[in-house]
Amino acid sequence: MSEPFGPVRIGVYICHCGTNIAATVDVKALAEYADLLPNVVLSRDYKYMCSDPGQDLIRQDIRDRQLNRVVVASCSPHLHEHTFRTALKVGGLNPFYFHMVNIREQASWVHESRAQATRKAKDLVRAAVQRVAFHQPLERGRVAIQPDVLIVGGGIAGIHAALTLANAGKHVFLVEREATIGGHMAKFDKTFPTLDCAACILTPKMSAVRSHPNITLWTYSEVTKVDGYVGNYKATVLRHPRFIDESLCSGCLECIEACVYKQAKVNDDFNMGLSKRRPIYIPFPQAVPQVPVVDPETCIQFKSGKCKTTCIAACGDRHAINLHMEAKEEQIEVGTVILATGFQTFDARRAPYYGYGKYPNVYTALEVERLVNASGPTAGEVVLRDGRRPKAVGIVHCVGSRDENTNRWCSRVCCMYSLKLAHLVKEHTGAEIFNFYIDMRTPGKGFEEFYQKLLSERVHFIRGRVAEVTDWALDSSEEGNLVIRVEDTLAGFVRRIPVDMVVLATGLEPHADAPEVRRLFNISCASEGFFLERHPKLAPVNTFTDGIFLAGCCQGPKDIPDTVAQAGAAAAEALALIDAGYVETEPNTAHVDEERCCGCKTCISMCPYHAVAFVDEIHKSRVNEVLCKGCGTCVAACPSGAIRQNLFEDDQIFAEIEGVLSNA
Amino acid sequence: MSSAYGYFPGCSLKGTGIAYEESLLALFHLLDLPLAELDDWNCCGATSYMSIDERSAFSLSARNLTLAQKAGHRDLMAPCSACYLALRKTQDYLQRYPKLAAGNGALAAIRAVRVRHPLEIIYSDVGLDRIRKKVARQWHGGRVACYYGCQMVRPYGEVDCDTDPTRMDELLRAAGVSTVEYPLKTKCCGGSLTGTTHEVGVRLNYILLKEAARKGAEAIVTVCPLCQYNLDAYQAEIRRSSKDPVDLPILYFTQILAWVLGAEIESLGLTRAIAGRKRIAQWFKPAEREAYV
Amino acid sequence: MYSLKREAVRTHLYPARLPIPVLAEEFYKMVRQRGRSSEFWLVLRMALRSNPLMLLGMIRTGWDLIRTRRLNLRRERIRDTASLLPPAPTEVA
Repeated sequence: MSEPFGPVRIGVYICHCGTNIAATVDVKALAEYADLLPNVVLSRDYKYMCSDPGQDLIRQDIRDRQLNRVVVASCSPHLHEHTFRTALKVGGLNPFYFHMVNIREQASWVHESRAQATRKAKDLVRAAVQRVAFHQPLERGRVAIQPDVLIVGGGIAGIHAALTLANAGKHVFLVEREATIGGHMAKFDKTFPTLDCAACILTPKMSAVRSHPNITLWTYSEVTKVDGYVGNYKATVLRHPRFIDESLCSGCLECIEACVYKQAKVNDDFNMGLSKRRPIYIPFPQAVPQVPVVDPETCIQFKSGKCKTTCIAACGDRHAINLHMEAKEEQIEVGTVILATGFQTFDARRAPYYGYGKYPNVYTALEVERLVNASGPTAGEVVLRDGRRPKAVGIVHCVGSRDENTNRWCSRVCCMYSLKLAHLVKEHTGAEIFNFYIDMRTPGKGFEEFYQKLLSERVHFIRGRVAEVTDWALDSSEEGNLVIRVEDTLAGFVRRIPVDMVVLATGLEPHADAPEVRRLFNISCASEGFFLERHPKLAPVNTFTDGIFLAGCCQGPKDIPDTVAQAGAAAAEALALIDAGYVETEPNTAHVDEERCCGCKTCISMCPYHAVAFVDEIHKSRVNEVLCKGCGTCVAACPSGAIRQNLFEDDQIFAEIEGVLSNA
Repeated sequence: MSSAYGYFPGCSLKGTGIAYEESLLALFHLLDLPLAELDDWNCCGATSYMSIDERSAFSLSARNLTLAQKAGHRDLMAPCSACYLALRKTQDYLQRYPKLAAGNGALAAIRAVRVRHPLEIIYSDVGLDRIRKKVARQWHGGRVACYYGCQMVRPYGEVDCDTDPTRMDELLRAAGVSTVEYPLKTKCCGGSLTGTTHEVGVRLNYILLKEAARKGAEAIVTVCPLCQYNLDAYQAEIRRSSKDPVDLPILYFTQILAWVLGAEIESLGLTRAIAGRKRIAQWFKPAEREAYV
Repeated sequence: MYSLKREAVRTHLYPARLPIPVLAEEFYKMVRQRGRSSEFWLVLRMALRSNPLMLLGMIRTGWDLIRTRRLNLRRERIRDTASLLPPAPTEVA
């Protein structure tokens, strides 16, 4: 790109934007005004500057009239700054000799008076003309993208994204905190609305992950440190010791049978505490990897060193059990990261008026999922804690959702899973089922039909938010039962419904450690704690940190089809970056004038993107232009005025201010 | 600055709730907590006044708070739950919407004075350990159900947890009294409904009494004079209409605490009880008969 | 709900067996004028204004209160009644 020599020659283009601007701003007068401004060689007005003929105008004028600066006064730079910069480039001029003025959102759309709007537009155009004279040529940088991908979280979202990327030929590191992949979906019995068995559709995918040559599966592992920037992330993964060597274990599970604990004593988390496990265990029979884990907190050998270690004997020649295994740290380099860390369910103890924890026959939905499941703690029998079959079951919707006192959002899946549980429990027990709802939210494909099916199954639906679950009886018919007190808003009075079993449809929440995870990856959380997407409509899988994508419930509550779709989208975004091979960086970055830097390090702590580092050898700060987002904080904060920012130089800003105030 | 607690009795404690005042004064005397009744205090307005004219209702409480501040009290104690809530609510609203306070001249008072309830004062300022140490008599009475009522704990949850309060239970247990699990402990007694819509009010009270008996309680302990009156005064009627032989003493927590800490039986106001008099006579035996037990 | 109650008080519209607005109004008048409420006189006035027969049903309770000396027949009053009224509108900010 050749640098035009000689004086500044500015071309100004005023866009009508159809009637969007022209109806309020007097574009002709504006063009005439601009023509008289200093350094302006030509000034045009045109109906649609962003159109091809409009851009052609710019390109031709650069050539014919030797323009070396261009100002376009039209809509928001968010829309067409890129378009016009490209037009300059095609016309042979450095694209950063361009400045855009927004006279649509900032003048035409916010004024009713033509005179006032035009006056403001004139001030803005003048400011731009004065500024652009000081623009310098800038180059976009390029950063190479490392083709490997890190996926954090091995639930259905992580699994699907991993398979998609692996099938595209990319190498994936799938890191999962628990001892097995599968996430929450592995705990479900059937999925709505088709009542597909969850394990039957999930386990093939889990096996595919295990056997795929492009996927490195690290379970029982956590990411502890992340450095770098898009295309070049360096992550440290801590692999917790299972005390069983994955490469030697054959998955026969005889060590579990052989454990000295004949009766299992430890709370089984996979079965939501409804059953017990031994200190050596596998989370569930189809776990991937098919390798047991030893829990050092409950294993006798770890606590006292005096166990017969029958497990090691049972393993025999394979010698897969190694009770001295240590944690291992792995360092990996990846270009992109997909976060699929999922959700946690609302702790029902936070709603004490529903009696969870107080009355033994109040269950959460996940607990009932395990009860209904044939491989669960009761082999699929839905029984109460004392072994009785329930004759009446109440399912309470919106526990910890749509609630000013706990969580305000709707958790999106609870209406559907409550319907599913109503169907399954009725099938297993023949009990009378009551669903207490505020609204019935069944928007997906086949969901409304599922609801109609439930209605025809004689499940009772009462519209009202349950006030309390209590055990005091008003008369003898209620003795021994749990009573649900609710206002039946359609019937218009308060009802007391005695039931044997209460199921709380607990909502979805971000994980308790979501704030730590998001800090680790340098992304943002929204106010409720879910990870923040770049744009709620148009960029639901991107984050504000380039190269890091979101998939699944960590971004917001959703069901399995939406999760899988989002995982595919995240994989596609990662693929787009990887296949392009490089990413271009915006040049509006800050840089340190090392002669003026005094080494006070103020800028380093100010930078929200950790883009400024201290170079010890020369005792000065230096900005990493790839990480820098051009926010300007360090520029303003530097006490020596040593930091400057491209496209926001002092002379440019002062000229702009003068221009705006010139008519004041 | 006075070190005494400002004492706001409220209209009930001078009327049907006289036993509350008597036992409260005895208890505070035993615990060396100085009390000073507010001079020329006015009615708090309770719930009725606020439902008719909210603006002037604030003036009623503002006047009391100003009196407390002028007397130099840091704390204003209101034993009646309705008085406590009226004062506390006024304090909260006027602080959040200072325009309402304009002209009341009460903003300074509102910030300077803390509105408290005796249950919380004894729990926080005296504490369970001191109560345990000061126990002078063993409790020979039966198990009790602690009834907190609805106005004291809601909405602020400052005196105790709003859904599952336990402080009265803890205090009584520290004093050697066994308490039962009482799920209806914050269910409303009906307030003035026993006077206006009698059947509704009595029914609410029947539910409370029946459940307490079902849980194994032989008495109910309250913090509010209206709750005590409602539960106490209609038991004969309930016996007749439901054929349920309820006869539960309804005691104030200050009566039991003061008794266990060694107060004279005459100072407790036990003769004011209407229901459960037989049990009261058995449980609260004056000193000279202790030897027989 | 408060608006409905105030309407009922203002227009004296309520079913005879539910004299709640009457109680509220009597309470309001008593406290406004005297600064204190007297339970006995309050209930008496409410009953006389709405449904005097209800006093017959209250005889048993009244007797119980008398024998336990909980029935306070005094008409309570504070000394400084002038300070009860809210300030004049001109002072409001």
